[in-house]
Amino acid sequence: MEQLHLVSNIQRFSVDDGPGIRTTVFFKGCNLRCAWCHNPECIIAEPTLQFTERSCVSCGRCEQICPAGVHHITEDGKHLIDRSKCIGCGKCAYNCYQSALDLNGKAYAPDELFAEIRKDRHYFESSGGGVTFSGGEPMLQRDYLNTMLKMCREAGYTTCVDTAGNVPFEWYREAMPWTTLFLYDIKLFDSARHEQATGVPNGRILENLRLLTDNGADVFIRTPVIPGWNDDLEEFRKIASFLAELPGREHVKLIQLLPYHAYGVGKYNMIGQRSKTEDVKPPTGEFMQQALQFYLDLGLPAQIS
Amino acid sequence: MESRWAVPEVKCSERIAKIRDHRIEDHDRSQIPLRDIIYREEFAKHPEEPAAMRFARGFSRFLEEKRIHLNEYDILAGFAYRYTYNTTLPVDMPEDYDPRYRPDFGVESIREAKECEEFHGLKPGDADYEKMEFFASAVKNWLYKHWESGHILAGYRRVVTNGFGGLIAEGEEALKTVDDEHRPYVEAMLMVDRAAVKYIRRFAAMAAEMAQTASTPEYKAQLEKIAGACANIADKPASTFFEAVQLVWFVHELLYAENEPASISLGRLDMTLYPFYKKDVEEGRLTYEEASDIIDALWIKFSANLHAYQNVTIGGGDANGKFAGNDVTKIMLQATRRLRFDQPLICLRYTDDMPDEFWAESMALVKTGTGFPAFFYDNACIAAKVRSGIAPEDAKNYAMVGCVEMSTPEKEYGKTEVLRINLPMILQLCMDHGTAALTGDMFPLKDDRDLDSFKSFEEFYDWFKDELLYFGGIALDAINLLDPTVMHFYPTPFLSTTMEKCFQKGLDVTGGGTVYNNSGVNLCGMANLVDGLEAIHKMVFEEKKYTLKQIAAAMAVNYEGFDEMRNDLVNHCDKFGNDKGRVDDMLNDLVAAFAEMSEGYRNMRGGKFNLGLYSVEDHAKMGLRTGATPDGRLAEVSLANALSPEQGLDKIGPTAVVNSVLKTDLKVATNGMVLDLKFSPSFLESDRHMDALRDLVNAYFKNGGMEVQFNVVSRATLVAAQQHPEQHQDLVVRVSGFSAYFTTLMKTTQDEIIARTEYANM
Repeated sequence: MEQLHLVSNIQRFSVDDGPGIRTTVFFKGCNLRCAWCHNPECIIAEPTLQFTERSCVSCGRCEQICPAGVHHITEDGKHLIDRSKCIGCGKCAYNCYQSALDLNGKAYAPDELFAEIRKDRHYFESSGGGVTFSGGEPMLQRDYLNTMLKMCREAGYTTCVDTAGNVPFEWYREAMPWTTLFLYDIKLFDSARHEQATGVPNGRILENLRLLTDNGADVFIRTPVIPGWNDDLEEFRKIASFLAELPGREHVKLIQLLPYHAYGVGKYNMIGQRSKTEDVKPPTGEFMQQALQFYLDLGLPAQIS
Repeated sequence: MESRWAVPEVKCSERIAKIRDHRIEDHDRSQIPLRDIIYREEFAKHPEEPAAMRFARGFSRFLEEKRIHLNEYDILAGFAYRYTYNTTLPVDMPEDYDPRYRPDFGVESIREAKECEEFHGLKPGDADYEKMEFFASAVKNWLYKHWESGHILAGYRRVVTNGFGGLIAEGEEALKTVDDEHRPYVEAMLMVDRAAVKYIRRFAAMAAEMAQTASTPEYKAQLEKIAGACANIADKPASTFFEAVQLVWFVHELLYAENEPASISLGRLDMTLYPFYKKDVEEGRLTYEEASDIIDALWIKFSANLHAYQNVTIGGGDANGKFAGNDVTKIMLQATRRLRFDQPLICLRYTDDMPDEFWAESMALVKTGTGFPAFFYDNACIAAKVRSGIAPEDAKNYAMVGCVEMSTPEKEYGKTEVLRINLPMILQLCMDHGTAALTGDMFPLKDDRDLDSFKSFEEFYDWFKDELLYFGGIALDAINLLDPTVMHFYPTPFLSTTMEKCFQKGLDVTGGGTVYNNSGVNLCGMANLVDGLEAIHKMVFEEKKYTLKQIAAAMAVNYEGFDEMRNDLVNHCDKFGNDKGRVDDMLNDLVAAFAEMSEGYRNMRGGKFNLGLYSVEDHAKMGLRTGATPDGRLAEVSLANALSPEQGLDKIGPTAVVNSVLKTDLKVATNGMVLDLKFSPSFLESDRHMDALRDLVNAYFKNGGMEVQFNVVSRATLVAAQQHPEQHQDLVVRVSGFSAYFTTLMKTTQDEIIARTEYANM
């Protein structure tokens, strides 16, 4: 049976995920576990109950309505959630008058998803934008992804795939003809540290990038800068020289250094988890400039985004 | 890295800073009651004369007797107040109003209805009499809002290029052939023109005298310049940039002395002034910096009247459609950025070929958060003017009046705010046999039906549409009864003299004296209406979860005890502004139906009714007086602003809002429309985002958009300003088709602005 493909969110007027005005489709499910992930709800492949505690008035309607006993309001008005029991029916969310509960993750048939993407075609045209598939790791749903990429390209939209690079290269080879641009993450150069931070080593990730550019695929390289996890200059120096030596270096169209931001922290609480980067502060401007300089020195098209 | 959208820093010159910082000292409130006292005396002295003559006498004597004032450091002469409310139109005015502010007044509809009935000789039982009574009661209930103009786009350019002497010559020529019926109108116009000449000469004398004792050579030189200019422009056309600006100001000041100043708008001021600027610069008399100071000084004069809708239109195409913006355009954008007042309102006419430097200047101004400029797309606006009967060559010269209404400078008396209709209240009335929820007043429906009798949504919808058009029709009929009474009771000879053809026709502008004589009819609460209809469609007719009567019963008690129903209506029905099919399409259908009806009407001056899809501040005011509605909105809460979604209910971002709005065919919005987009200030920090914004605007305009404006003050700032107004006195925000000092807005309006969805970190 074909796996159900869940979309976490369709973000329109997305202007930071590739060129122009884009519609970004966030798939659920990922094979990395980056400590700083700012879309933790997309790591989980299944429908995910999100709870905004400050909106909750402890009315107890969810407790009455839930068929699986997920919700419990204590005597002193605390709202406890046992997510292990959740069957993803969404009844609690529908009946939450405060919109404190929400069920994240919706299945779209390809033509349904395309209909949503198509709605912003005028803005794609005026801005040279298009659609970006992100997540999570969109490559994990490659058949579905390829179907979508093909539909979008045939309609004349540019297509971006936002990927962490940790899948067999063959999968990229399938997607390449329909992909205008890969937004490709390089998070750390040192493989042991990479594994520590993301749960996987980075050998395949670096190799896939080499193959992509060598095969003529255009890429934007994106590196988040996370104090405490990857913020020593040596890492950036190594990434920069790796990029400079890529066989298809001219296909690296842009390198974006992304300073850590804390927008994602609240989302962990919403799904009953704790962020590992709660206390992390954004890197200093000085550090960002120093890191950037390695790239500029090698003539790479890098910027702080 | 240098931004591609970088603009020069702007700073006030020392002289301007001084005028700005001392401007409050110019306020002399003693002259305010004087105007109405003199008018009443003149009315009493000449009871036998037509109103136009009596008004002209009041105007002339007021100009002779009112105190004038000049500071030795001034760059321009003159000062304008809201001098009048009580003699120009029947208006309910609080006694203690501060003339700088816009008082919370309304039309005195009962007195107006009585005057109208007297004028037409109507008696109880006459159909028209009953209609007027219905109308007056509906205005009291804010089912309709009615405002007899005061929305004026005068012929500033006409005065600047002809001089008052030229107008007087025109009047004397007209007098030779005029018949007795029209003679008083011509004589009244001549009288006010002559009064204007004398008034300006008073300033010439005062400045000359002050020059003799001036404390510095710079002050002396400028006072002499003012004296010379005033002596010249008292009756002659302007000959320099400085004289042109000074004369524009005097015309404005005199319009303030005559009119109920709801919105006195200046037209394409950059185009009026540019020929003078160009000539002066070419002949070495003027620099960019000097011109900047003069415009700054003019802006400071406008700032004396807060919340006054003094609208300046800039940019736009020439007769061939090519962007005609110039140095003066740029100076005006920069002056607004420098001074950050709520006045004048800046409207930028946008064309496809507008150069990047004007976009950069415009966005630099947008980033200040003042909401200026609002962007108007020439192609859409010109088409709208042509649709409303304006000749193409005149349509190309359109400018804004009030908020977003397109008018034709010196050729059109548009009465753009003569009628606004509270759409959600009509739906509320339909759900309760015509009883207004908050007052209990009755407005009988055309076809009062049992809510249980509807078998399908289509049947309900058709019935509602019929009632909507019925209520719209009554209002238009009433407006047409009122129209001819205005020239009879409240003529405006000075405004008339600035407009083309009034002398030749021998008519006041309020009686159809000028070339184009349209009226406006505006719709309010559009999102609430279609959201309510959509909720009924889904919950009553599709899901059959409730009956119409159950919803009506819940509305009657403001949804108290109906939490589950309200959750269904608010959170589980599609809302306008999210790019969903049915609810958006319904608005298009209703607006088109209304337009078909209103375009079939003619006003009593031979003009059309132009349809407006904007709400000024009335969405808040009408909301305060409207009971709960089927969209789940509670009683007394603001309606949706203009064509915007209900506050906070658009969840998909700006492109979805734009798409929803574009599903309505905006070609029928011949009186203008408003699309308000709110962005967090941080969003505009990067070039990439700035580019995206322009791409958004371009796509919107290419696909049928007419107007767009931006709000970029953060929610946190707004909340702080509400809590500590004393620390945010100078915070200017976009309200609807206009901007205003946030702390001067009523709380409902403040709350409404805070509740709007902010894009960037969605």
